[in-house]
Amino acid sequence: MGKLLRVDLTSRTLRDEPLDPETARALVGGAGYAARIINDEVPGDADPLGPKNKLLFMTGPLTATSFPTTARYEVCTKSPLTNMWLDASSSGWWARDFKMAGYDGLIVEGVADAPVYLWIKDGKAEIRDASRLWGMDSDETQAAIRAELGDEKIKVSCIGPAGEKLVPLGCVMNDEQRAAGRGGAGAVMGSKKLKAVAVRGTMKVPVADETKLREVAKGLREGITHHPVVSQFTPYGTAFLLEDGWVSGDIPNKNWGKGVWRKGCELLNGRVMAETILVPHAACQGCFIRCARWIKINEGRFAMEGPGPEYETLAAFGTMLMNDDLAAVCWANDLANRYGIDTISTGSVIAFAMEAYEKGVIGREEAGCDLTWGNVDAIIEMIDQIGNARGLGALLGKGVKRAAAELGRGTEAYAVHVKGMEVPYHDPRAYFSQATSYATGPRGACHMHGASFVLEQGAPRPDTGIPSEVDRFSNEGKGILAKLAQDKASVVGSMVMCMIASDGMIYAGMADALEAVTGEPWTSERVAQTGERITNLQRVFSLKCGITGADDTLPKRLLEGPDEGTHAGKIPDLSVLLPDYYRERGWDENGRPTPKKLEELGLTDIAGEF
Amino acid sequence: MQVTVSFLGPLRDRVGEKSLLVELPAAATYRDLLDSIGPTMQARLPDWAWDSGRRSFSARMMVSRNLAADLRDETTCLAEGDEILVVLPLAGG
Repeated sequence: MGKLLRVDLTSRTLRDEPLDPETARALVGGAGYAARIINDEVPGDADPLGPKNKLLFMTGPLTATSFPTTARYEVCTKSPLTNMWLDASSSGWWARDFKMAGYDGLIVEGVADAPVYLWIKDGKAEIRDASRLWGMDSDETQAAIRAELGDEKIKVSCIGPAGEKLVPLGCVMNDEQRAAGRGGAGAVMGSKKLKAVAVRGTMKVPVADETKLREVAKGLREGITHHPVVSQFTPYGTAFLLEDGWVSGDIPNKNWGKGVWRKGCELLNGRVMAETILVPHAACQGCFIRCARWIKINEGRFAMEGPGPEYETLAAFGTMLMNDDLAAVCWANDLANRYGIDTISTGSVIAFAMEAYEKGVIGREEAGCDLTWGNVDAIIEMIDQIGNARGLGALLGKGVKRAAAELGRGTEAYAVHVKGMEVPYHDPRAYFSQATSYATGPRGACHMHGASFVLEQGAPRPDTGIPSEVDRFSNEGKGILAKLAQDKASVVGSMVMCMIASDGMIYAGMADALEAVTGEPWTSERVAQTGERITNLQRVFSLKCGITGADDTLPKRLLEGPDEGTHAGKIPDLSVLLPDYYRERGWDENGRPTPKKLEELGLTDIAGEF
Repeated sequence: MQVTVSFLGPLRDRVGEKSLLVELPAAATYRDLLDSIGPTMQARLPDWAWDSGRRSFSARMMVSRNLAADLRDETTCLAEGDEILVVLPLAGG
């Protein structure tokens, strides 16, 4: 059994503590294990940016093993954007080195009296001065720490200026612009004056049955190589979706106000990227899918070389803003990543501002630029303002919910969020189960915590028992789809593996992988119940934070039918969808887990806490 | 009359062309179109995309006529200049 590193930045003390075997058996690791710690140690009324909040960096049992697609880590905390549960996941190489330095997780508590960073190498950890790093962007920070410590192999997880300035859209960055993006974990890190966590690990991670683990990995690789959908990620990245996602209505445009924008999708998609600016580059550690993009733009005002945008960012700075300039999207992506702001939420708040500008609520002087749709100069200016918490960007960086509340004048009608989390770019009016998944998602509107629309796309799902043919516009029978997708995502977040890879993996395969690495008996049923347990635990924390069933809803804009497309006029009916979902969950009519459900999941100890 | 059948995403790679221009008699139906392109589809598409038993795109495919709601009814009458969009619904990102 592994160990955690607990760091109190107020007292500047560090101590190792063993993983609790019972918690690990019940919740695996990653965001599952973190949910237990946060439930136990963070008060529901804690200020997310105050000393009582805690920030966890968690790996899983498969991290740094030979099993592919497990290069990820989870950053978990109470969100300053939503004021409830948050887990945000990132990939790259950092997680492997952290685990090989001897730790499964890091708990950061308290607040430092001056900027610091953590340096962890092969079982030894220390707090170091980060004064000279304060103000650097995320790329500069990583380079400066490697230079200071004299080792180019050091991996760094850090914040940029946005996190330092406590921008609620601030994220945690690592390696080549990989992001634990959503919900403002970067602002929590900034509130603790923790600039970075630098790691270098060379110790071997124990595996119970290496032969079996390699067999399971082989099956995963073969399954994905021949999977008609997942195999698209290799040549085209996640951006392949733009090529044809507009036909189903999945892709939002113009702040969710335009049903279809074929021209934009034809200029921004993964095939175009592959044919014009994509260059070969390393994948995430141990990954054969290789969805990460590396681009080189040789000429023009946006000439650059570096990490390229994935689907959500292309929608955020492209279709949502009516911008079809691929080079400009690449530039905007790089800028947002350097400042350390979530590209999904940033695109959403800029789209909101452009609509407010169009309606005359925001003027040119207030914006500091001409915020018209598709104006790339305005997009870049707003990213700069948000990343530096200045001008109108200081307001937008708080997220659309708070921006609309402060602006007033009817702007709430087009502030697209759930519980304060901007909605990611899969339209729930195209697949109605996604309406349920967004309305009830553990961290707010989130496709990583329940991409149930996948279950409405006709692919065979032998492990779920649901039919392959589902009417995507029906309100009936969608609760079980949302539950299945959310619970599977919860297991993925606790094993800490890649969501894309998990789409090519059924519960039995996940059970085999867990059994091989832990030596414990795992079954499909145990995997499914573990996912349900984690989802409920995260829900309970959010209920303790003050969330109620009334918050399980969609914004007004998403309850209006799209103007055109195959989903024109389609509106999900939450009065049917939500009760069905609560029934499937074993929750009461107010969205609270019943005592019976908590007992079934072995969570009776928290039954009285909300 | 002429209608265009457009293939997007992985279907484009499988068919080998972005679109096919299909000549059909006036008042042709969607069934007529399927019969016309059937041999080509049978030869180029895998089982998950083309249902050889039903001589139609598999249930997993999304077919739309001029970006209207999902096309399933094979008696639907087509018109000159129609675009039939065929995609494999995809997720990701």
